[in-house]
Amino acid sequence: MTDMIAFTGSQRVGRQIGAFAAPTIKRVGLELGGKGPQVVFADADLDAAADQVTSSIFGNQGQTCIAGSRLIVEKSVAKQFVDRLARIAARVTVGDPLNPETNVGALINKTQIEKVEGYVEAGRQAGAEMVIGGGRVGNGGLFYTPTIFTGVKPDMSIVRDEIFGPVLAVQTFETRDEAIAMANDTIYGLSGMVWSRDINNALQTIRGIRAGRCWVNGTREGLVEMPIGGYKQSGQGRELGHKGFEEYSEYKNIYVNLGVSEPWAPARN
Amino acid sequence: MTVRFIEPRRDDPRLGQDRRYRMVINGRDVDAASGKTIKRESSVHEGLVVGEWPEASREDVETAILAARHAFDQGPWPRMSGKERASYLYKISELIKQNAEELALMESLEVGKTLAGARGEMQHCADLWHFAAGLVRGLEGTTHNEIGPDALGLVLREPIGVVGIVTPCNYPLVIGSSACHGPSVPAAPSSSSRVSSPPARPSASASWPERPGFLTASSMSSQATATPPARSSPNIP
Repeated sequence: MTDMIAFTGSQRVGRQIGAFAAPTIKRVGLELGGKGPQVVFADADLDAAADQVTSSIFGNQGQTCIAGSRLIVEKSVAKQFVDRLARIAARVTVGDPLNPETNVGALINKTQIEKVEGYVEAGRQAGAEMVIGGGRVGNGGLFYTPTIFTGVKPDMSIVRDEIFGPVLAVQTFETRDEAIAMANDTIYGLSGMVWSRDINNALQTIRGIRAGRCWVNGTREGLVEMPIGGYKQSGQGRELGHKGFEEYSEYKNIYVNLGVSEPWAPARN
Repeated sequence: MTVRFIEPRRDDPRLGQDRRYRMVINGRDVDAASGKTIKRESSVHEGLVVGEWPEASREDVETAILAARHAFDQGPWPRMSGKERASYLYKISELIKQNAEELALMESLEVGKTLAGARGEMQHCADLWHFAAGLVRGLEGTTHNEIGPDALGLVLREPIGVVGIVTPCNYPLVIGSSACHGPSVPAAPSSSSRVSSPPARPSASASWPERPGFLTASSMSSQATATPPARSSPNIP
């Protein structure tokens, strides 16, 4: 009865949808999760980068599939860049979503905030260093403070899993190749961001990142003209743009015979 | 360092409104066949109900799918010209703009996101429908005129048909509009028909484009707001 299912949501449910659709060979469009890398080089405009790195992971309480939840920053500027992030995180206003001064509202439900708490606790236990945040705020509402971890290791769950909360994991690199390898060390491939003033460096890096929605010196602008979607386990198919339109259509080829065909089994005399 | 916190105001008059919603199936406002409802609680104010929704069952979803099937197979929507369909899509875009404040408020109350952020998202939603309206008039195929003197090849692009759309809880109308944008509204643009279903939690804004009054005019659209397999998932990117 249904010709296609377009699902946006978690990877776990996406997998189920694919399985449900298999018996009738339904077309499936999947827009799933991510663990977006924000690669920041030493030559970047660090103020602009700090502003957008924080808005990307703390905006909408981190509940954004394209959120840049992994910061991969060049070692020589890592300390000062993280200081900038912490200063911004500290002046972020959490609370009443209806108040115009608020930057960060409430998480979607109790299960989600408990999940965030679980990841933060796991990060602590695993030995990551919490620079800022790490707890609820307010009375009764599901508010969580912007949280930044440094000193993380690639196998920690705060680096590997999509937390879907305001939690940033910071890693450092020394060479571009190393940065690209770290950016790609994930099952996801939804978003990727690169910050550098050197255009060749920025484009070489973004070209190396296997993700469907990327930014150079930006992280939040969205357009309707370009296709969006994920590499790897972040989904299949695309939305938006001409490509997105195409996903919802079929192609029909019609061979029109303008001549007279030879009979395939001609009458014998 | 301590974070600045603004205590939510429980006396905000916007919280006091009675927000009860119905599903739109086959162009009509309906309740769940069972009569059951879901109360959506605020994540900002403990215990505050910010919306009450029909709790759709499998039966309701099947009714919606059948209506969409009928609309696609027999209804006027897929048979309209691109120009006619575009006029509906433009209208949705305009209505989103005109009702942006209320839509943004619905999302803020249900999702817990900032109203300021939701306002910006509504402008993006309007743009998605606006873009789709332009696209629908450009649905074109190709011709092959170099395949021999006695043959001509035509490649048509046609809408896929009935599309089930499951939207997430974090950006209900943005994603509903994106999926919709292709033909998913495409259902609309490409004249496919849509059945949409915000998953774990019903969403006022995501169901809004199927409100009677415009899409129903074409009887192309039917929606059941249900809670299908995604219900148990807390993580809805």
